[in-house]
Amino acid sequence: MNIQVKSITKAFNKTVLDNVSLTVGEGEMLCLLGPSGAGKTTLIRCIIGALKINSGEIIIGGTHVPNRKLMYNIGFMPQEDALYNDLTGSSNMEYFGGLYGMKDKELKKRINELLIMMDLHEDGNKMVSNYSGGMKKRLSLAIALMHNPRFLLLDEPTVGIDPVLRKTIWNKFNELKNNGCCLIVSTHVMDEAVKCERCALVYGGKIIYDDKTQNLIAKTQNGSLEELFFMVKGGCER
Amino acid sequence: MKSTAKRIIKQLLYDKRAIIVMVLGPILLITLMFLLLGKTDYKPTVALEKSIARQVMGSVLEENFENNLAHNNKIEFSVMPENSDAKTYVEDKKADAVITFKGQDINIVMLELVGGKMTIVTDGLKAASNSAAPGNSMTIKYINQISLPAKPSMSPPNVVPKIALQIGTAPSAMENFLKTDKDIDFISLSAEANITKFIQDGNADAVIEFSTDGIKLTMLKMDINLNTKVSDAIAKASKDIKIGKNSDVTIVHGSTDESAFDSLAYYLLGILMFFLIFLFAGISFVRERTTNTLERLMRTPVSSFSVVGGYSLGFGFFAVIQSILIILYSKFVLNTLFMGQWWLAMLIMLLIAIVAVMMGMFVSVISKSEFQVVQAIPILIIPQIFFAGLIPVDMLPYHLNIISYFMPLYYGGIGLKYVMVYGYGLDKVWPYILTLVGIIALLFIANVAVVRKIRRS
Repeated sequence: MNIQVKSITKAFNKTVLDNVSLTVGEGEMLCLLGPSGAGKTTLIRCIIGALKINSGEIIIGGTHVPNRKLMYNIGFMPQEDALYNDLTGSSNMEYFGGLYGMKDKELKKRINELLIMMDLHEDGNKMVSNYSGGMKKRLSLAIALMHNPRFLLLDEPTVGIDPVLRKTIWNKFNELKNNGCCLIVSTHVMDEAVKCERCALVYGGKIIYDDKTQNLIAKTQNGSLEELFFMVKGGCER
Repeated sequence: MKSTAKRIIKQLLYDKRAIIVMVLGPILLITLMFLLLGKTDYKPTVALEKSIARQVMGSVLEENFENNLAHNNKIEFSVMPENSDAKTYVEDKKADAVITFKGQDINIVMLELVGGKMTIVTDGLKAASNSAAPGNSMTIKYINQISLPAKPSMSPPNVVPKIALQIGTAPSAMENFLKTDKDIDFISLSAEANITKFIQDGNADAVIEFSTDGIKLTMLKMDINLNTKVSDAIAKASKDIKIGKNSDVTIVHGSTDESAFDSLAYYLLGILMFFLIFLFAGISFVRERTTNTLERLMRTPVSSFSVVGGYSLGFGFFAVIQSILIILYSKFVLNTLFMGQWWLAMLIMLLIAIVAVMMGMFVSVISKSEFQVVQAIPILIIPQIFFAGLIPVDMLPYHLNIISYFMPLYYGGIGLKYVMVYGYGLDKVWPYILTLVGIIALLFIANVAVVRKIRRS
């Protein structure tokens, strides 16, 4: 059970992903790190099958993407808050849970569980339009986790979440990983990447480094992953 | 499918204003139409140019005529002061109509062609002149001479009406005149024929009968254009012939004294229902796109079929409530003309609403923003309003009536008219119901195809 990306290329008007390959195994979490515009979101959208790739192939748990049935096993959190503002938080969760075929009793239990985990248990019956940015982000994450997916594709899940809760959420990711889930999480914050065991640095549509985070840090002089980007950028300009 | 339907219903239920607009909106609009088009106590003021009337009719007849007009309780009668000009008098709003004469003919001067007012004036004139000339050679020429100071707002379309005459009943001079009249399509009808059936089968637009009491005219439906044409033809033909003193109009479905609201109610109900549901359904799906929920929805295992099905069910739920409310309200509160079975009308209303859901959704899935949905209104919705019964399509020039067959609302409009005005049952309405169901099925398939395409982009 793993996610395999085999030399995919994606171009809109210009090439956005150039011959990208990676494999994320069971019980592994990969952090996609890169500045905005590097191609992180495009890569995640390609992996889930929202975008057609120009070449290469993507296999998740032995099934080729795109595949509708595969979605039962995938949790996806888009970068934008994709929520129904005219519904309450728990109604949003109920709806998406229903789409994954969850039954009423199971749904109720799971909604309660996740509301507590995301520190939203007092806001479940409030309209999403009254939520703050951070609350929306947490609700969005809760929806991605609703159906206990084995594969999680999360696009910048912790943007706008306060540091305390962010830590809780990263702990949750690690817990999911230890339970055998397979996670790909994107971020543009270097500090966050450090919490992740393995990092892939995305830059200009390419994966420039893909290694254990500690190995990557070892390559730098002052222990900041940012340096690796400067090194590549400098290399290009020269 | 169930989840999506449930979500749509919840979203609308949480939105109080949407509910009010959806439920009370049509009721408010129908009530407004009812007040605007229904029967009124309004009395037009009618002035008589007395000096000319006296010249034409002579003092005895004129006195009779004036007396009759003054006692007509449907109009407010006055005498126009001498030396004033009829057109100026009307333009100064001193009277709604001035009765004057052009040669031997009565001439009505009105500011503009307003159907209701004109009918009241001509009715009053008819009554006045009928008894003004008892047993006299008064012909029914009063309807055909109407001069208008302003350009008429609507000219009758160039359609030749089919007029049938029961042979042998009319004076032969008149029969011959009608036969050669190029403005009508003359049909001979045997004296024994069943007139009502003849018209219902679409063989003629009007049938003329003669008796010692006068002319009797039978038409399918109250229609101002047709009415004028037929009356014109008879008036021309009977110019020099002595006929009975009364001419009467029999209408197979409905009656001449039904209000404009009664004869248009079916159409208004359908349009209102269609337009409102279209808007709600149209905005709803495109909002998924603008709030990014569409992308998230497409990344769940839900099938395109059940997305479209869920939307249809969700809005269908409101459509059911709305069609029940509208029909009950117009039947029991407004007392609208309701010849047929109310459940059949409700069924057609419901089908119209579901077509609206499907069309709204179709526009919505191919639009990128709410504004693009609004752009579809003048292109997709307004023509439907024209073709659903506002204009009698068989009067359209250049075979434009073919267009109406592509308008879903046309079938709904006809269906509602058959049930509400004609009182037809399922046996005569089923083709229209079936067509609506077919349109719904086609649009459903189209919607599923488009949603599937979005998913695979």
